Amino acid sequence: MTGPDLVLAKITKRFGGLIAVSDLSLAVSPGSIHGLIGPNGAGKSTTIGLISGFIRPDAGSVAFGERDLTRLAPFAIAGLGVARTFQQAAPLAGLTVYENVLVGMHMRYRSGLGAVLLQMPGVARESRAIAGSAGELLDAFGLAPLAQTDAKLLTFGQLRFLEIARTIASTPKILLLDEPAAGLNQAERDRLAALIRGFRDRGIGVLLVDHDVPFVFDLCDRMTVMNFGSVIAAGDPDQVRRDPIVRDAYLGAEAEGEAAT
Amino acid sequence: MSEPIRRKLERAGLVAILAVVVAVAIGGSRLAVYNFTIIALQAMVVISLNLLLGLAGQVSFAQTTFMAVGGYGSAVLTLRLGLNPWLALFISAFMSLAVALVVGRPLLRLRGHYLAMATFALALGTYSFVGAATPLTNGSIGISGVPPLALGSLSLDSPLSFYVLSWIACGLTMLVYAVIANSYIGRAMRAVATGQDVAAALGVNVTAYKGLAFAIAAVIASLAGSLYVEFTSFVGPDLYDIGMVVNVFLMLFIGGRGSNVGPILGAALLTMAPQYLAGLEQFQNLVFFVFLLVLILVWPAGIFGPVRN
Amino acid sequence: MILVIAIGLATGCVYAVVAVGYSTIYRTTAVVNFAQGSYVMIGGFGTYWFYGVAHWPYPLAILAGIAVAALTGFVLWIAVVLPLWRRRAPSYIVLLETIVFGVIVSTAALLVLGPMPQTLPPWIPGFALAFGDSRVDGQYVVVAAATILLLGSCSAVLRFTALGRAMRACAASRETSALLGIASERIGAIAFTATATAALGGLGGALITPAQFTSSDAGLAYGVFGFVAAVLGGFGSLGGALIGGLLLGLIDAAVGRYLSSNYQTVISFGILLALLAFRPQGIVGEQWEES
Repeated sequence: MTGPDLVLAKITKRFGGLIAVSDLSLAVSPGSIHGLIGPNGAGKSTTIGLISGFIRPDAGSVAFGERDLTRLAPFAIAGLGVARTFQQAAPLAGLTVYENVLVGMHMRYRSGLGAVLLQMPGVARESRAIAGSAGELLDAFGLAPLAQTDAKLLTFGQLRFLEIARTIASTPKILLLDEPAAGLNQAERDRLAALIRGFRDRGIGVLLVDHDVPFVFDLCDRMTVMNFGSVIAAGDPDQVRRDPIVRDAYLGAEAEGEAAT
Repeated sequence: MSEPIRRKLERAGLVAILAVVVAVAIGGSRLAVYNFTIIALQAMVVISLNLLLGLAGQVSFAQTTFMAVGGYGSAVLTLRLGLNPWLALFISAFMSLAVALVVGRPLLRLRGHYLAMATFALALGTYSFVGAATPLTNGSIGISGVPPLALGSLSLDSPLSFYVLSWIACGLTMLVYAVIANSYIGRAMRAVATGQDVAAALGVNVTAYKGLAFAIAAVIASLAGSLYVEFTSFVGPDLYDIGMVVNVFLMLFIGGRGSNVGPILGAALLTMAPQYLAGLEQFQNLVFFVFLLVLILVWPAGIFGPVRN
Repeated sequence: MILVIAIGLATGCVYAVVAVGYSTIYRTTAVVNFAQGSYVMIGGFGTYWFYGVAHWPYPLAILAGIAVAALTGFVLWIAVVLPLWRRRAPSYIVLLETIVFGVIVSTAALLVLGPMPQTLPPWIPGFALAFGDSRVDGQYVVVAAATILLLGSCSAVLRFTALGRAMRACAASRETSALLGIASERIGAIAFTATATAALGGLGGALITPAQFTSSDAGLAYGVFGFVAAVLGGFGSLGGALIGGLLLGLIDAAVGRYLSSNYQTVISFGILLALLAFRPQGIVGEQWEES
């Protein structure tokens, strides 16, 4: 589908003496899934933080089409259509599931403070329309029965899906998923995979970061592999899978992973 | 208690408050009218803190700073520059807005403890400043003889007229709180309070919303401060000492956050209680504060606190 | 000028003691205790009561004053902070309660001891130093010497004794403690910390009062200045507390001498605000975690 790419060019980030990300370049195209994998500490989550504005890179740039995202605040980047999820799926505690999704739709509200204070009719109209969309979204994610529940009472799996629903509510063009499959059981993983494919089919560009290597391989159209902050392989998933450097980097991690599962 | 029950209680509470306010207006004694005027003005400040802390989650001890800008602003502008008291009221509110925007910028970047302490420092610093800046504020003596507000040719200096004015102001404040709390703006503030990063990732301009809450709270506190000084015709540093800083907080926490009933309840309790303790004379203050200490200990959420805590 | 320095350093020592109290308590419990300054007032005023009113011998009166301060610290911990902590009350509630506690203490002191400022006899009678034309009250020297001795021994205790290790362990696992609740063996070490810092504050009060006056509302002033000193030096750092305290003491003394004592508090607050807004880590610059 059409739309600009999200392009990272030579991103570098140091924390004290430690190099977290070094000279990273990759691109996410709309209507595709780009996988980002690598052993623990490879710099994957940092990358998401760098793209979404929570961390400032020391060098390099992030661009979405013509817009330079590098120095923008997180909310502005979200406003441009680049949205992210968090590794620790955080509920907006104290708000109901329904309200959580409404916060996801925050950017759709156009009424100003004055209009709200004077309770102009347009405000209520807008609220109703957005509330309708929120209801639909909850239905689509199967969260409708939980709508009035305080989000902090959800199970881990439910929370993960709420987070994704909430992020999709912000109608992103590019979606950065930070370890979405972590902690989910097999049924939930399958649901998640179907959801992600659905996003791709609707023209969203997805950057999928996860530890579950088979999960990522199964879904992605392109792939980048990181280790110690640098890119060690990139391109077609099948090529990457056969790359000896990648196997080397993962030998220890895979053995650990197999022992764990 | 569950949410629907709570909402019923809240509605009942608001009706009860209205009934009491009307009853006092019609048949209340001079003392009752006086007390309830004070309660209305205190409640305004507590509601402003409810918006800033209860809704947006920003722990600020600095509401007294804006009360002082309103109070001293009204006094100085009317007495020294001869301005109309209403004009002075609004100019002071505007000055508070300016201070809030300037001071808020660096302070609201702080979180948790830092913000609490910085705003506490601002509040106590304000107290020190108005006590020391004698050329402007008349130092620790204060300024007396502040002229009352007037509505056309009607001078609003009768107790009843000020009572009505104060409760109208309080009512408007409650309305502002309710309207904001129930809108997407209030929801965004709650999101900032409970998950700042998540909110930012969803497109909420966190800095702007914190600043907005801070600014609105400042303006409300300033108006309350001005009205109070107009009411008593006097302003002095002791109005804004550590006791008052603590008082505003205690009123909010004892009354309960999250609705308009709590602040009024808290304001009423903490305004009336010292009078019931008056019999204890010199022990009055001590007993009062010990009572509050224990109350918060037992009940950190407050009487009419939020459902979840 | 010499006098300014002497006063500055001596009061700076007391600020440093309060600042050490703030930092120590914060490091071990993540609580900011705004009643810290009250212990100084209790030390000074309490000693006055035991000596001037109850007519105890001076050294005994000093010990009694310090004991009352220590007891107050203990009570604050056991009766207020611990229950709130157990109930996972948010940090600003704990802060608020310590402020209220400080107000209660000064109100009680006002009731018991009256509104008049009081002073005490010097520790070494007749001790004074001459610098050219100026004569410096020897008490200032006593304050400085005693503070250095105290802080040095505190540092030694922290580093070399089992108790010190327990306190440092509390500091390290402070966050986990705050989240999961504290193990009962830690409570002992923390209670000791609370009591010890209170005793230190009390001693500071007993030391400085002969050189100046004290009154029931001194607690707030010392609490504020001590806090500014702690943030100035770097909150959570003991070395920073000393540096911050001395620096602030000198600044205050200079302001009091060359401008006006009215502005001492205002300028301190200004410094604090600027610090918190632009350099919260203070001079030493240890990044302390937020709760």
